[in-house]
Amino acid sequence: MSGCKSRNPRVNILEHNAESIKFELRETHLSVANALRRVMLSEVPTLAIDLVEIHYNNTVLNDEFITHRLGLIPIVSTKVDKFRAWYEEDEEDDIDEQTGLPIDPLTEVEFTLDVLGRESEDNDGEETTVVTSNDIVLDSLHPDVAPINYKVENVKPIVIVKLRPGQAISLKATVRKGIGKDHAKWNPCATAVFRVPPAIRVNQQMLSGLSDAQRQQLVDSCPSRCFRVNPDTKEVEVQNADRYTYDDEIVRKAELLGVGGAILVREKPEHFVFTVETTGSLPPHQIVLGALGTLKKKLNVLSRDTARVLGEQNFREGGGDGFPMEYA
Amino acid sequence: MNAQERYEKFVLPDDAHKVTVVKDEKVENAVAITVEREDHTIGNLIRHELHRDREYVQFAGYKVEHPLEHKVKFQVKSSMDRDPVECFKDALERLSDEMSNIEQAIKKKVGVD
Repeated sequence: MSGCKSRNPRVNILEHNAESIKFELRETHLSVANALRRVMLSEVPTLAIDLVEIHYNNTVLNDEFITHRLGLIPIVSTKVDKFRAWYEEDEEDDIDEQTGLPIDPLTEVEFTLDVLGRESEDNDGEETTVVTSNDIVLDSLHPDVAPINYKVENVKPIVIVKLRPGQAISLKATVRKGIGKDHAKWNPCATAVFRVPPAIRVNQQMLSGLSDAQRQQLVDSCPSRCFRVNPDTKEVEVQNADRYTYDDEIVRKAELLGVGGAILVREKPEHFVFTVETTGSLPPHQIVLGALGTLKKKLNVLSRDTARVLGEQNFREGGGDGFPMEYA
Repeated sequence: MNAQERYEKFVLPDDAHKVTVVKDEKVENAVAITVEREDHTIGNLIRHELHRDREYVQFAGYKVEHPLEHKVKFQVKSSMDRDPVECFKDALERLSDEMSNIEQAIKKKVGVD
């Protein structure tokens, strides 16, 4: 083995709720942070409606328009591990803990949607019947695969189409597993970004020669308003560093006021602040864990195949006819 | 009409290997490693991990040669006392460990399993 060891990055969770997570990742390289971000966006598997069979549709929206709208409805994907996409191979570790038998992976789940536009007298006096995600009928065998906020009281469901009296929609929708690289409907993130926080140093001694008005000018020059003049001490101080946009305006203003270098800004090394928001298909921390799992799996597949290449090479060497080794 | 199928970006064809290695004809202990159906996510990650191995790795670079050909090509040159493909594998293993470490840290902080 080489002398270099794998890193052990530090993680600190700053905010965490049902919709989003904000955390710090420290003591690692930018390439790791960026790989994590990219995988969260495009390679964490989720569920989405992928195939729609329309039986009847005389609404104002055409078949493919409705199909597209259905595809974009986030589906609760906490059970996505039990699914297998068509391109995936069966894994050996899918064994039932109690019976010891292999678990048959799911490939698809079917929803149905049948709504008829009611006359206004049967519809609380309303001319239009609104078809929403709550009108979808779930697969009775898989009640935990459902559109987000399915039949949750006081939460507005997702509108699919609106009907006039006499218009109707009837269809069968197939839910499948997929990744954001295939189609954005499988992307679990509404946001997945990271930024590098700034380390700001204010040299009070250099600023001591400035008048109060000049200090105010200096503070006002920052468009992201990250500084303020302390009302008591009249010192320039950092107010909210995490809003700083690296615009350098205040650094240049300091130069104009003849105190160049009084305010120094640099990026904190090896420090990344992630913000991840979910579409609702997966809890936010599951997106992050799912991304790490996907990355790890990717790297393991690569190292296994690299081992295969090395093995073939050794085999040739074993043939030993004195020629320099060649790779496959 | 001539568009590729979307799955071509990530589904490995039956007749392809994930990793293929070609030895450099002019430079000693240098190889070109092609990884099928991967992109910059893995490319940049592995390149930087190879750079960390100062003891053995003398050169590491990667490129995605064409946007419609979904593969990454690495070029690695190592010192004479270690095979460049071994260095590549070491980098992969270190990264895999690092991912496990982050995973553990997050699980601990979030409080799942």
